Amino acid sequence: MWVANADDEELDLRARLGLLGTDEEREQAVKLLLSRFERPIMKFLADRFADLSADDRASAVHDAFLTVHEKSVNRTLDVDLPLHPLLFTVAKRRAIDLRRRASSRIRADAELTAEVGEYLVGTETGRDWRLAITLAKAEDVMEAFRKFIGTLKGQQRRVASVMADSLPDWLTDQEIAEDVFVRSEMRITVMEVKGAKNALMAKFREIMKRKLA
Amino acid sequence: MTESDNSKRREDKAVQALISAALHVSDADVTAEEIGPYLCGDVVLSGEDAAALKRKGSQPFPSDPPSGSLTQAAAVENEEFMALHRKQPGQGFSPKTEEEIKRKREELLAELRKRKKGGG
Repeated sequence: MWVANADDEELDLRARLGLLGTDEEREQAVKLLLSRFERPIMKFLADRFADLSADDRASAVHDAFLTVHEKSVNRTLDVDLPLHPLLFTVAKRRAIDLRRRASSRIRADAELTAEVGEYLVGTETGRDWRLAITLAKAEDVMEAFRKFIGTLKGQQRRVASVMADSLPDWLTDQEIAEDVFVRSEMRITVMEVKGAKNALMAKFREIMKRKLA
Repeated sequence: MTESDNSKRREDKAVQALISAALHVSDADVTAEEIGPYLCGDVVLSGEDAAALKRKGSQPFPSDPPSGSLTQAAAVENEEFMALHRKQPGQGFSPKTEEEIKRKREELLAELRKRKKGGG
C-alpha cells in the first residue's frame, strides 16, 4: 500500500495549519497545495477522462483547490485528515459532472459494474476477456483503449462519453444522439452514432487482439 | 433474424459493455492506492494538458477582480473570487467554533514541531 512520504506529510500539515488561519494564510496554503498536487491530479484525470478536453480537465483540477479553500473559509474542512485524497476526489467528481453536463440518463455506478459481466456470458469476447484477465493483460487493454479515446476528435469522442455511463441495452442509438446533444450541444444523427460505435468496437477488438497475441 | 445475426449482436454488445467498463469512472472516494502512482516521482503531462493548466494560471485566485461589464464566464469567476475572499460571518464564528479552531491549530503545530525534532 502506498504511504505518503515525509515531505508530502509535512506539506500537508503546513497546508492544514494555513487553512485554519487568516485569509492570507489560507491563500498561501492553497498555493502550496497547488504547487505540489496540481500536475499529479491533472495526470490522474487525463488517465481516466480521455474523452474530456484538456481545458475541462484543468477546470476540474482548479475547482478542487477552490473547493478546499471554500470549505476552509466556511470551517467545514476536516483538518484531521490529509488533504490530497479530498483534492483528488473532488477533481474526479467535478470531471464526472463535466462529462455528464445536463444529462439525466445516469444510473448508479453499482448497476453498471454489476451488469457488465452479463453481456460477456457465452460470447467469444467474454472468453477472450477471461484470457486477458488470466494473463494480467486486462488493465493494459483498458488503458490502451482510454489512450486511444484521447486521440479522437469530434463525434467518436462524444459518443464514447455517453457510452462511459451506459450499457448496450440502456440507451437506443437515438437516445445516445440525444444525450450527445444534451452534453455537448452538438447534433449527431443515428447513422453517425452507429458509425462511431462501430469504429470504437473495431478499435477495442484490435487492441485486445494485439495484447493477447 | 438468423442465428448468425444474433451471435454478432451479442458479440457487439459484449464489446460495448467492455468499452463502458473501460471508460466508466465511479464517483467513490479516490483511494490511497489510486493516488500513490501519481505522487511517486515526476509527473509527465501531455503538451495539451500542460498548456491547459498554464491557461488556468499558476494560482487559483485572480489577482485583480475584473472591472467593467462582465461576460457570464467572467461573472462566475468573479463570484468565485469574492467567495474566496469572503470574511467570516459578520458576527464572527461562535466562541465554541473559535476555540475548536484554536485547538486544531495547536494540534497541527505540535505535530509539525514533533516532526522537526524527529528530523522530519
